[in-house]
Amino acid sequence: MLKRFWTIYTLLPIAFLAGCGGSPEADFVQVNSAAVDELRTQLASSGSGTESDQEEQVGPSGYATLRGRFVLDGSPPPQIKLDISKDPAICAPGGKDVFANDVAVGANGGLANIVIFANGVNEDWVHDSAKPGRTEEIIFDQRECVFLTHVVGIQTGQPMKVLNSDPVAHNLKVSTTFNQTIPEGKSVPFVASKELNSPEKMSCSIHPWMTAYLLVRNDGYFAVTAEDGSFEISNLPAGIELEFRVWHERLNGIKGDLQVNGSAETWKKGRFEMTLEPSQDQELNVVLPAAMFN
Amino acid sequence: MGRFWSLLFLAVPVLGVGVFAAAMMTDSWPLYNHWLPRDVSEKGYVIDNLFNTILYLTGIIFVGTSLALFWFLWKYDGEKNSGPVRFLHGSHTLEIVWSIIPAATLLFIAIYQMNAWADAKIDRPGTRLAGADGRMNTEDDLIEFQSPIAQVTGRQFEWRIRYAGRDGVVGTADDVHTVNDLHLPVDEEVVLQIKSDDVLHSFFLPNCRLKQDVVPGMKQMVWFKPKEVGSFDIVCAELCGWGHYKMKGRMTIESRKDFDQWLTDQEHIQQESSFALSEEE
Amino acid sequence: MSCCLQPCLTSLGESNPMKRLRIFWALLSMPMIGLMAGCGTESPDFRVNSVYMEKISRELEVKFDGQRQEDVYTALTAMFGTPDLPVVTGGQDVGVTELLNVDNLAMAAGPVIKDYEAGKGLYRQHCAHCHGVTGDGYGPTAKFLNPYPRDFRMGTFKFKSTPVGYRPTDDDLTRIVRNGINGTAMPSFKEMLDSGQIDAIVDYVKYLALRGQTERSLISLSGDYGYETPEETADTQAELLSKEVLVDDILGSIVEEWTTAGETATEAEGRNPIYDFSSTEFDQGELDESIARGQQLYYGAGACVTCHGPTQLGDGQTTDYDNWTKDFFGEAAKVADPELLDAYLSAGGLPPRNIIPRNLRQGVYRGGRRPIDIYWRVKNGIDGTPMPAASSQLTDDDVWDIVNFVLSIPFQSLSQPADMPEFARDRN
Repeated sequence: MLKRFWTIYTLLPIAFLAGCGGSPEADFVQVNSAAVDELRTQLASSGSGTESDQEEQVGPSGYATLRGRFVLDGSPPPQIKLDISKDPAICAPGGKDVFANDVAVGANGGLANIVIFANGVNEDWVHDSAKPGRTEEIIFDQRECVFLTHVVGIQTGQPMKVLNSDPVAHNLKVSTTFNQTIPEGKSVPFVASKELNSPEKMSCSIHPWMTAYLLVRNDGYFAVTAEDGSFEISNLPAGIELEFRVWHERLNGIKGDLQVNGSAETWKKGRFEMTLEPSQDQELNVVLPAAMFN
Repeated sequence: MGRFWSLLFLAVPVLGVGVFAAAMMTDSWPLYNHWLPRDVSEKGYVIDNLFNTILYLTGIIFVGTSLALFWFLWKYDGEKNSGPVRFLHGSHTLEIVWSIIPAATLLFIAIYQMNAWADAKIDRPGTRLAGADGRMNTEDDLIEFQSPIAQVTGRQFEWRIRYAGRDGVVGTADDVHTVNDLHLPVDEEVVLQIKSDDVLHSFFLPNCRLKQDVVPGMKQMVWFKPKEVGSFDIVCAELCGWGHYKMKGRMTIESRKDFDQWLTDQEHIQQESSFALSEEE
Repeated sequence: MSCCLQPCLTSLGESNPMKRLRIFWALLSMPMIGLMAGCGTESPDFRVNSVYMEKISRELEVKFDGQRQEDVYTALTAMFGTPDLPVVTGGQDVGVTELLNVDNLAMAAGPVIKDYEAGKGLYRQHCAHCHGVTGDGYGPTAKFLNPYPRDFRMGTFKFKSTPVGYRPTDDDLTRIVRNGINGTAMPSFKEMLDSGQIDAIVDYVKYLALRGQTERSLISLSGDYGYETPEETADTQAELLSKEVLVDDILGSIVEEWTTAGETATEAEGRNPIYDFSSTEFDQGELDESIARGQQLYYGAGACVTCHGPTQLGDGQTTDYDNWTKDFFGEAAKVADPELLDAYLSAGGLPPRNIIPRNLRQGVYRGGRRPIDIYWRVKNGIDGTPMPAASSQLTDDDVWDIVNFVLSIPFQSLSQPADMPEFARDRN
């Protein structure tokens, strides 16, 4: 009897200690406190950091246009069928199948809805035609519960008219920044205020399968490929190295082995660098292997 | 060791009585404010009397049995007694005595507390109306119960309070809602309906000597008559979860005029429908 | 602990009774010491945002380990300190002082001090068990609660006066702490804390949100940099761990969102007093008409019926998820992907739960029951959830009609659906 008592008494604290285990180690990171203190001193110092002397940077030697085409090499991947769980009479009239169409292949393998934009272009080098403040209104419509423009590129402050041509209400939810109801047959205005580094998802909470993407840029150096895969960005600063980012809905950044203007290249993280010749149009024809989309 | 152990047993009644005595001296060192809190309800003294009666009764028995225990331990300590052990087998008289005395005591308590129980739990305030025989104060008199001034809902971990509003009925569109903030008029009999949204709570007003378990699925009434203005605690007296200690509310007892004013103010706050940015921003 | 007990146990055969008694007491006290020393002596640290790192590492195909992760958290610790010593280093240059009071942070932070020294450790005493020391909504009780406690790290808050995508105002946060959120585990702190203490907690919540948002920005930015060679690592560190990037760019833009929140709150001219029963102008007939108009809008241009259901029971759209879940999964449908779900759970995400539209018949209004509260919910939508703002085609009067209708629903009888327009039944 006494023996059992002692056993329990010994086990008790062990059990308690085990109970205090807490979260796994991976939840925390040990940082070097000397490095933290050093960085803190730097951050707390007045003025704008250590490398305050602005490096003299050479401006563009002119302007040039980049145009080209994105083409799929091989057979297009199978389409994803969407689950029309709501308002089937309107969203899938006649019970037809509706597909995601996220890999839209047009004539001659042209890939639509690829986003290409120049990232981090110095504000002072932006050509007048690409400066922020475009006021041309973009129409963004939806019919049969499909966003008619699948990928939209707009400039900050540029007005976008969100139409609803369906006989049911929709709402437009732009990632975390906008969410408004659009009654049947009506429209609401939308203006984006913040530049994005990759397209944001737009969706409809009422019809959750509806998807579209929105890219917001301060300057006008962006393009979305047309149905035949072609795009054009005009008046890019030439003579300096530009970083381009390329995005596709299913791939996110386009990365991996592909062919650019006939020669094999490898893009990392969906970006590549390029220097344009002044006053000379540059071709950019990209062939993506079909395997990329599997 | 020997008699040392019996001294430990003697310490029990001594300390026990000492702690109570110290606690009763509520204004002095070392146990400030550990006795019953200020009684602000009209019938609170009934509960206090009941409490004190039972305390003294059990106190006497506690001291008596503890001393007896000590005396036996002291007297029959093994090291001091070398004689043989004597065994007793049954004493009819003794058994009758120790059955009758507690039974009588319990019976006394049961009878003594009947009115207090009826006042607190059964006789809900109301107006007597003439019964079927058309006469008042007969056995079949109907009683129109006083309707509750507010509904208090315990939930993990707060008290949601819902005043009956203008129509005097809880559960209609003009109810006034507050959280943890109960205001009541002084010198008026108040009825509260209490219920729970989730688990067992206990609605406890220490200053009104009122404590009622709040049972999920039951609508219960509690009533009392506050007789002093002031601000007092509402607490939960049933361990209801990890946030049990958070269920602290405030009961404010004020004059009828102040109460009406407060209720009107609350109503206005609840009807707030405009918002303007402040000028300087 | 257990190994030191072993010799004590063998010495129980000790014959000297006094010595035996001493061993007895020693053994008796040990578990007590174990109890006291075993738990919580180490000061807690902020948890890393593993879920977001998992998301970014999938997007950018980078690994968050070794130097990359260490750099992110070195920067974060330098900028925001520790749970015991919160700071916002360099914050004065980008206007943090307008947003937070440093004394308030000190009041809310740190370990819990005894009652009579109150005014310290408020966050850990009252908030951390649900919201977590990090403000990640992952406190010890989190997994037992429905809805889960708020994760502050996205800077998104539901019940506020500002539109979707904007930060809440101080008044919004204060109101939540004071009144609690009815229908959830968030209790009212009105009687527990005085207004100074509530201010301190609100400031600390803003601090945790700033820190969480900065953490997210840093993680996604860090994913863009290379760490493959020592030279690359040095270049990355020189660029990433600089005042321009950390304070001017990242912190600056986040702080600006918060300091300008007050200007973005949605103003309301107020409901016509004929709808207010406490007003002398109250007119029941007018109110009934307004409710009827609101009901029409509910089924019509307001499109409320699509989610809240034809009988307002909140059963119209029950398969969606909130932004805190969709942040990782991208879209509701992907939550069903077992591989993705597994990655989410093993990174420390709480099991995803559907977000259910409010059952409007219960009369429980999480963001408050004042007409202005309901107005904000309808007019602005609810941030972080699928609840959209009312169409800008609706006038203020329309919105007030909806508000009046919503406030009347709990008092209608469900057994009289006669007023329901026919077309609303045809949906679904």
